[in-house]
Amino acid sequence: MTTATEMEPKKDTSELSVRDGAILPLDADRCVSFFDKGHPYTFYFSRINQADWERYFSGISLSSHNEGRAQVTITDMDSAAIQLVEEKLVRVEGYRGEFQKREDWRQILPIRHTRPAAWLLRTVTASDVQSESFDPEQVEAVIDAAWGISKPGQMVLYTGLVHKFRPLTAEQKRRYCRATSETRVIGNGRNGRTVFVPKQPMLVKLYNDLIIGVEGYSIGGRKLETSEEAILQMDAYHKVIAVEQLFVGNNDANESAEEAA
Amino acid sequence: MIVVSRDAQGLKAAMLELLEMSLSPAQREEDIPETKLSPGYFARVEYLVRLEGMMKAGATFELLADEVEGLQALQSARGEFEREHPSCSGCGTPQYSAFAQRCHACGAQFKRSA
Repeated sequence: MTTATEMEPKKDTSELSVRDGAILPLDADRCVSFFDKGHPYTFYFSRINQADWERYFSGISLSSHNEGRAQVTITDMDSAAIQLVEEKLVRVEGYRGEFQKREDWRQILPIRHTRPAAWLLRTVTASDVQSESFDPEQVEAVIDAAWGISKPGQMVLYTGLVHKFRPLTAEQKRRYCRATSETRVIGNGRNGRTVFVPKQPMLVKLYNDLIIGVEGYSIGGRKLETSEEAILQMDAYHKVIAVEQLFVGNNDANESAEEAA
Repeated sequence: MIVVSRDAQGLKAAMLELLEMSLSPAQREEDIPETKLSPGYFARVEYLVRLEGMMKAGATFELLADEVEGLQALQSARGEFEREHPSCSGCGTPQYSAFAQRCHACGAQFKRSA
């Protein structure tokens, strides 16, 4: 069940408003809107499909290296996300001038606009909303997501979007753990920089293997419910955030190597 | 470029480092020894230890070759650590040295054969 939440407007960001009992239409115009210095800007995109998200996932950079006794981890999700914005952008509103007639108009948009646009496309998080009852034969992941705008500068936040999964098998858990441990080390021999292989493509496959049904989504004016519909139509970013919830809380009793020894 | 999952020697070294650290946990940050291995080795060791635990609990998997070699590397590291830091027969605590006369944890006297 989706609900709406009013949030305090923040300077130079998007306002978020949620409608009670709203259903997220996956085929609605994909757009984001935000304020910069009190002025609203709106970005309109063509539909972002699974291949587009997979290209984004493969562009995520996560690396780690030692500096003395400290371990330094560097994450870059923004570069790939800004590239996604530039690839899928069809038009913008809120600007002056005729720059959209240029062939390279997407590349001349300021970073202080493309970055919040990229962030708003990825505003999908685990939800605080919980179902009132549960089915012991399935596992629910509930997420909130910003999608579409109610007016310039104000996006709609859908809360309580439910994804229902079969329980994880030991083999699937192992696949996840193996994927997150898969790394390469470059430069400086064994003490070089560790580059982590993106796990999101594996998570999308896992979502498709486990999903039973969803609540809170529609397509073509019809509620999306079955696993087949979810596999074909669900936004891949929503898939990743939803299925990742199955692993939250599983790492709290991590055995260190010395305990296992 | 090193593919960590296939570097059994590196994984063994990472496991040995962790076992050595467990022998005398550092009380202060400046006492933590610098590691000679990139973080990816420890991430992989963590996975292999978790895999071991799942198998000990009864789960069965078709293991990949690099997983088998990684598990062997962990066992080899434990064997080497045990030789250098034998456990007290009384309380089981690994000793700082194979030549210790008395257990540093329970005080038990070790008998050495002539």
